[in-house]
Amino acid sequence: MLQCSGVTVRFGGLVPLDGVDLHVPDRGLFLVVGPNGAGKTTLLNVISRLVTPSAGSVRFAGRDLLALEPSALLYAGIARSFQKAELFVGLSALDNVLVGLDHRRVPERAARMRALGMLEALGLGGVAHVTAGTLPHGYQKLVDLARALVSEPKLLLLDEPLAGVTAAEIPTLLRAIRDAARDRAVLMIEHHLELVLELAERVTVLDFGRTIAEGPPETIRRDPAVIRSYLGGKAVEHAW
Amino acid sequence: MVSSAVLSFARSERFALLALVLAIAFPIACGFRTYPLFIAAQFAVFAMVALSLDVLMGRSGQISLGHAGFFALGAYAAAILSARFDVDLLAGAIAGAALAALGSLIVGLPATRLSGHYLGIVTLGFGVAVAQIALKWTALTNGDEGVHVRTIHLAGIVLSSPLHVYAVAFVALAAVAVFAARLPRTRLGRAFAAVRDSEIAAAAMGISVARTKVTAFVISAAIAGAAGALYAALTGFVAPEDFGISQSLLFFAMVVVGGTASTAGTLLGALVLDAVSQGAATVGGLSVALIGAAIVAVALFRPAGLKSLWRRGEGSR
Repeated sequence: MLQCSGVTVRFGGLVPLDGVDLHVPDRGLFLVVGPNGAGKTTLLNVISRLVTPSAGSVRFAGRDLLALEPSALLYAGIARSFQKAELFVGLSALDNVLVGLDHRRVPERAARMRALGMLEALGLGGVAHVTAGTLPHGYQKLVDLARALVSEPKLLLLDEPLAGVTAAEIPTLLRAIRDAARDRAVLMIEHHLELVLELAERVTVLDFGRTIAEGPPETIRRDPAVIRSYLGGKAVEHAW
Repeated sequence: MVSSAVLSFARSERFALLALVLAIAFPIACGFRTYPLFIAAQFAVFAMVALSLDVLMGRSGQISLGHAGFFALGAYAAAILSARFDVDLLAGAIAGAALAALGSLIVGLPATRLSGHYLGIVTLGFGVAVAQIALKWTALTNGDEGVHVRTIHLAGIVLSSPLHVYAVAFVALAAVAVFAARLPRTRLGRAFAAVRDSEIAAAAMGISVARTKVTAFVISAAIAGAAGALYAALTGFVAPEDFGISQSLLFFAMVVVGGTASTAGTLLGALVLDAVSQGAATVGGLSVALIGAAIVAVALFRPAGLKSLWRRGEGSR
């Protein structure tokens, strides 16, 4: 459904992405991993139209994504979360989630019920009316996920959803991600491989802007290039 | 948490009502004499502009240091239509709102590319330019001699006494206050807040950032323009000196002192600042100095403004 071909991004002398291909089918969890600076977030930003590549194509459900404005993506069925949550800090948690429904012009009462249901499913019912900017970081990440998920996108992009989330919230979050991937495509960047690798259908490993490995988790785990590059050739058991 | 949020909302409403009751009661306590009625009605008009500015600044996160410019466009539109064609106040207010909205596009369209200090400079320049045009385009505006309004009538009823204009002004203020207070609970209000708090997340949520910013400018200017028309009806006379930088500064101070993104705070800020500026009006230059001092004092000691009297935990935003 999502097809990235030869995506290259240049910032002056830097090349954060260098000819990356990526194919994401209709359903399931797809993981993008790699060391810091590998180009993972840049790839996500290309797909969500925050960064325009200098070469390559990005197609989604037959459409050329690069021809769309960033604000058209949700209408096309693509929602995303952010590494730093990027909540609307002056709004309540509930209002943040409501923004995720506003593009559909759902009647206010029905929208409120749905948004509240989404927050409750993520264990956030108790903080629905709290100003988002005052919530702990882990809660903010969950609200960010709720805001993206409530629009029922066909493709959900998650940028390190587990980063900054406390251990107590992780099972809820993993369950939500797994449920989400059941009837849609979820493209996720994540460092906590020990937690998410088993959930993934396929994994793409980036390093220095290039794809160094691609395949199901069990293959990736044993790939020599991955071990060398991503894990520095040691501490394999620990990192996985 | 939920119950405290509800409680604080009720408290903010109490403060807003207190401000309104004080302003409405003032001329009644003075036995309906003309000057107190005028002062109270003028407060209502200025408070409308302050609320319109809070829609722009507090709700959508943009700045305007030239809101007297939109206020002037509305006042001149209504005054000139009245003086030349004896146009009804309601039609004058609609024309004033429309002209101000049109003027806001001049500022609002570049605003989609500018923010912070740069937008401040553009709006400041706009305010100065409008006052200068009013001064120099004598064929239309009579320059510094100003425009005298003919009989004021609203929907066919002649508003012959200050009491009538006072009543109309407070009804209009109440309408604007209800709009401003309800805005955050609407789809449009959420889009304003989204653009204010995170442009990239707003775009990811399907919100056109540029269109939303311009919409905020147009709505804010239209309200300020309608208030300008009321001002023309109230004073019966408009001249450039009513719409200078110090007037823009007064509106700005009302919002900042009251606390941005708060309807009750802005109303209270408008009351305090209007009282200060009226009280100091007899001494030349003192009122502007006090307004400046109020902005500095709030910025230093209470960055959240008067709304921090009832709203907690919002830090300096």
